[in-house]
Amino acid sequence: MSESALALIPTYGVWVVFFATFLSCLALPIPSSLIMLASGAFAASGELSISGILIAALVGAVIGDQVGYVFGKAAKTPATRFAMRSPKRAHLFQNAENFLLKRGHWAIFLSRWLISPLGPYINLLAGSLSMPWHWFLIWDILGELVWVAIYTGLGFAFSGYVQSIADMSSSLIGLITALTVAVLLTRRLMRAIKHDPEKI
Amino acid sequence: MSRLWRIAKRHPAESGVLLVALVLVAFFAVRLVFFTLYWSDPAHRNVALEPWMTPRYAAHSWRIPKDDMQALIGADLATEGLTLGEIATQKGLTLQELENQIRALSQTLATQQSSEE
Repeated sequence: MSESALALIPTYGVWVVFFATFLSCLALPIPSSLIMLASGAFAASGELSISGILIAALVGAVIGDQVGYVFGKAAKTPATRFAMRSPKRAHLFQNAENFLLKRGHWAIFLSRWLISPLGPYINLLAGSLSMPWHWFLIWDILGELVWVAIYTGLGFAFSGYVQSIADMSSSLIGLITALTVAVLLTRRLMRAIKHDPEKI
Repeated sequence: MSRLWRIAKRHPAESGVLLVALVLVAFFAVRLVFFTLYWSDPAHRNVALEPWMTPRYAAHSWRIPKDDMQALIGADLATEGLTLGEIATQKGLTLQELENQIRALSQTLATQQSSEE
């Protein structure tokens, strides 16, 4: 699938980049990082305009994220009703809401590039937990700027190494994301152990 | 140990996701090591031409003079934004054959290959 997507770039140019980032921000399995790497490389050889790629990728990603946020907002009422039905879930919901309001900007910013697999889901959460839209938008744009700049830049600078960069970066990002989730969950469970009433 | 098990039973969702996350940590760690080894081997780096690349892409990445590349591909095909895969089909070559012809034009690729012999 990656090969066929990349082969579209010489013909359809920045539109491939736009739709790739847009759809991948909606959790569709599109290799958008690879596409941006290749596009950066195509820009280096003069076939695409670098500013065109940067704009298309950024606009596609930000619009995709806003759509996720809106979906989240639309799901807010049914999600809240679902959560309120059990005290434990309501507590978790409240925790998530507090976390998002206090440290949400880090979650948004880092999930654009460093823990990018979580990005689409954080969009939904931000919408359904009513994170203020202007903060969501600002940190989304900043994070996506970093993401677009890194991959397009790497492709531009190292056009002969696009595949190796893609393989290494996807493994590294996957590792960092899984580690982040594991650490966060471990901390939650350790706190549960500390408050465990039945001490042996 | 039994306390861990009790916690897991009381928080099944979080424990389940934690387990999946740990499996993924192991998976991606192995993948990272594998790709580091794979791509540090120069032989793999040299098989660098891909069917989705264009002649201009290959010329830029491996320092092939534009005229040489145009002469090889043919002026009519070179300007159309075709990929190497499409060009190979049009010329009736396999991708490997086209790649070998391009490789012959490149100083960089040629020296990389001869330094391994």
